[in-house]
Amino acid sequence: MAYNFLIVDDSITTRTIIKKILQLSSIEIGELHEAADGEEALEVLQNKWIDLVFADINMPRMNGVEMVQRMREDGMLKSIPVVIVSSEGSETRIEEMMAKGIKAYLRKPFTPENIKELAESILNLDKRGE
Amino acid sequence: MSDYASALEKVFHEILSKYAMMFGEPAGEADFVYKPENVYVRSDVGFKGQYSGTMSVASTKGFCFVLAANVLGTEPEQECAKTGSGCDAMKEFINLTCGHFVTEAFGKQATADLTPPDAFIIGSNEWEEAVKSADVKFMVEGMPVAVSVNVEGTGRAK
Repeated sequence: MAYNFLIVDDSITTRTIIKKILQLSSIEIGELHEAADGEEALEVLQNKWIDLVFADINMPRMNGVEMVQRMREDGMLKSIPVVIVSSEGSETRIEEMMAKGIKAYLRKPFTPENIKELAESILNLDKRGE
Repeated sequence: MSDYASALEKVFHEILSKYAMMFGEPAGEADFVYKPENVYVRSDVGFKGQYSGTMSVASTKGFCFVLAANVLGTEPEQECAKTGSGCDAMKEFINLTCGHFVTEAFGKQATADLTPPDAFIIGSNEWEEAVKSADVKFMVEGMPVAVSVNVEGTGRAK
């Protein structure tokens, strides 16, 4: 089974790194979509089937906090798992995001293993041995 | 030099090594003298919340290319490192440094929203001003890097 990912970050460098990590992993990739902010991400989510979202917090136009909030208010999008990938390390912020229903919070800079293991865990690939 | 120099120095080295596998070395005043053959770049980011302020990183365009190349796993001469990626990698570097600085200086409960970082070419006067106001200065792979932070209000670093 192939999985579709959405990577949301205003840094093209970070989007490129996450894409490379996923492409080099053993995860079967269907489509890799990108968005530079929360607004663009919601547009993609409305039009494409997405299995997992990696999203930054601080972005222009719409940040990751509002994007997650909007997803949770939308019946079609609320069950899509989101991993926040941010330079912020405030415990208050992490608790706030976990309360909004994100699956995990990963602090930048991350390692390739961080991304790969989180994706496998959330998609239950580690348990299935895929 | 501000009260926050030690926190800034710690996060600068941490992020530079973890993000780009690069390392800062001690620098002398002569390393920061303006050279007309160099193109100089400054990147700024703001943080707003319990503590507010701004952070700036100034260096050469060459530093941005090497940073992008290291992060992307390419050569600095390759097109992908030379085009927009150099500027973008510099902006992401200051974004990471600032995010880690907030918790290092003010504690793990401190929250701050970061403004989208900016990066732009600067001339000799702006370079000299960036060097003069820097809290920490290093040589990174033979290129000068000057970093400064300004914190508003009364909060002091731990």
